[in-house]
Amino acid sequence: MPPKFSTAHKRLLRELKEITKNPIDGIIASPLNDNDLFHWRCIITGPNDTPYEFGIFEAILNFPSDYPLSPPTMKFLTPIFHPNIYKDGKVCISILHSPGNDPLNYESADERWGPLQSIEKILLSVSSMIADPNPNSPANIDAAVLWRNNKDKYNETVKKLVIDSLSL
Amino acid sequence: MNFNSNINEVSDPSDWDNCKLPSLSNLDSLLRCQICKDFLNAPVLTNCGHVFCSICIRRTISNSNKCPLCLEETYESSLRKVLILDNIVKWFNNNRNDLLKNLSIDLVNDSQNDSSSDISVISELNGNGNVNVNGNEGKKEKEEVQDNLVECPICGVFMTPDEIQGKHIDQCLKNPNGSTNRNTKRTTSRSFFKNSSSSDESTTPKNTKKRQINIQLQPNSIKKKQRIPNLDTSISTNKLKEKLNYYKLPINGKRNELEQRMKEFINLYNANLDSINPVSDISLISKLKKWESLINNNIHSQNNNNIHSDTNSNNSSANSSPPITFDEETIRRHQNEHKSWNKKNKNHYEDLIKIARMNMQKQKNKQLINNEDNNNNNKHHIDDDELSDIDTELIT
Ligand SMILES: [Zn+2]
Ligand SMILES: [Zn+2]
Ligand SMILES: [Zn+2]
Repeated sequence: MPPKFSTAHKRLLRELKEITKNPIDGIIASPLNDNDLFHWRCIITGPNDTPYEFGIFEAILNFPSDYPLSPPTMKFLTPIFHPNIYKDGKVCISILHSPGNDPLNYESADERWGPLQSIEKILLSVSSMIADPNPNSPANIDAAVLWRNNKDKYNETVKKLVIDSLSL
Repeated sequence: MNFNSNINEVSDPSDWDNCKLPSLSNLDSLLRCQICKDFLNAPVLTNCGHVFCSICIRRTISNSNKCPLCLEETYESSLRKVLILDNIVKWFNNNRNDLLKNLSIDLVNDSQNDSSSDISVISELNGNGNVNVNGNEGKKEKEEVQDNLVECPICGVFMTPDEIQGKHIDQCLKNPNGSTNRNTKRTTSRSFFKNSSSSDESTTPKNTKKRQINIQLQPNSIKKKQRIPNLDTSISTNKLKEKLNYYKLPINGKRNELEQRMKEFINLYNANLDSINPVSDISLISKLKKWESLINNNIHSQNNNNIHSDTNSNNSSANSSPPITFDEETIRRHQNEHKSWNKKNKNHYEDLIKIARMNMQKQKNKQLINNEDNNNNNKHHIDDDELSDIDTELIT
C-alpha cells in the first residue's frame, strides 16, 4: 500500500503543478528528486535596491507528513547575513510558525502558518523578509544589532558575502 | 515512480486555461477545498460562511479553533453539511473530463471557428455529438427553450404535451424508471433542481427512485448515527483505551499516540456523516491505519524511496512524528539528490549567476559615473530595462 496519495502528497503535487505553470519571478523551486515531494530546493534572488541585490540564495524546504496542517521548515544553504536567518541558515519568519507556536506573541495570527498558505506564499514572504528584516524576531543577533546600529557596516557585510558567494 | 508523470494526473483549475471556456477555471476552483486543493469532499459550512471538506476543516480545527480563511473562531459543533453542494461537486467531477474534451481548442478547429458567444459555443458543441449528447439533441435543446414543456407525472421528465400524450406515457407506465435515455438526459438539469426543491414532499417508492437518478441523498443508516463528541483529553489512559476498544480501534502505543488515534478517528467518523457517499466503519478504520502510518513513519519511508535504506513500513511501532530537522546528516543523505537537482536546474542557475555578475558589474560602473556627477545624488533605481542593456547605460 504505497501511501502516495495522502493529502500532503496531492497538495504538494498541485503546488508543483501551479509553480511549474506560473513560475514566480526571481525564484526557482522544485523537489529535490523525482521520488520525493517532501524535500524541495529553491533559489531566491536578492531583492532589488537592497544590499542583497544580485545575490543568489539557495535554500531547502522540508515538508512534514501532515502538510498543510503544519508548515515546512526552511534553511538556506548559501551563507546569508540577515537578522532573521540563523547562522546555520534556518529561517525564522512568522509564515513558517504555526499559530500556537509563538511564545513571545509578537506575530499576528494572520501572518502565521495556516493550511491556506502555500510554497509560493512562503517564498514571496521570505523574499520580502530579506528586503525588510523584522527586528522583533532576531535569529542572528550580530546581524540584528548591526542592522539597527550601523546600517553602513551592515550593508557592507551583506554585500561582501554576496560577492563571495558569486565568486567575483 | 516519477511524479513528473503524475503532475498531469492531478487536476487543477488551470486545466481549463486553454479551452474554449477558460472561465470554467473559476467554477473549478470554487468547487475545491482551499485546504487540500482537491474537489470538496463531504463539504461543510462554518459559522462564518466558509466551506471546506469535512475532514479537512475538522483536522484543522482540532489544531486550532479558527477558520483558516477568515480566522474567525470555529468549532466542530457548528459545522453543517451541505448536501446539495456535495451533489454539484460530484456532478462536476464526474463530467469534468468530458467537458474538457468537448471544450478543447483542437475540437473547435476541427469543426468551425465560430466564437461569437459562449452560448453559441455550447450549442455548437452539442451539435458536435460527443460523449454525452448526440446531434439531434443539440437542436432539440434550442427548440425546447421556447416550447411549453410539461412534466411527465410518472418520471418527472419535462417534454412537450405531444410527446407525453404520444408514446411516452405508455412506456413510462410500463416502466417508470426506464424512460427513454434521450429524454432523461435532455432535461437532467431541470429535474435536478425540481427534485431538490421538493425533496421532502414525497414518500412513495416511485418518487424515491426518481430522486436517485438526479440527486443523491444520504442513506438512512447514516442519518440515524450520532456524532462522536470531542475527545476529553483529561480522561485516564484506561478510559481512553476503553473508548478505543469500543470503536474496535487498536489500543497499543503511547498515551499521545492513543490520543492522536482517537482524535483522528472522531474526525473521520464525523466527516463520514457529512458525506453523501458514506463508507462503512471498517473502511474508516483502514483509513485511520493509513493515516497513522503516514503521520508516524518518517518522510523517507513514506515515499517508497529506494535511495534510502530505512524504508520499512512497519506502522505499529512507528515513533510519533519526528520533528524535521536540517542536520548535517540529512543534507549528506540528500547529497546525490542535490547534485541531480543542480544538474536539472543548471541552465537556470548559470543564467542567474551570469545576470547577477553582469548586474554587479553594471552597478560598479554606475557608481563610478555617479561619483563623477554629484547632481544625480544618492540612491539609484535600477529597473529591468536598464539591466538588460549595459551599453546604453554606460553611455548615459
Ligand atoms: Zn479538503
Ligand atoms: Zn471563515
Ligand atoms: Zn415519464
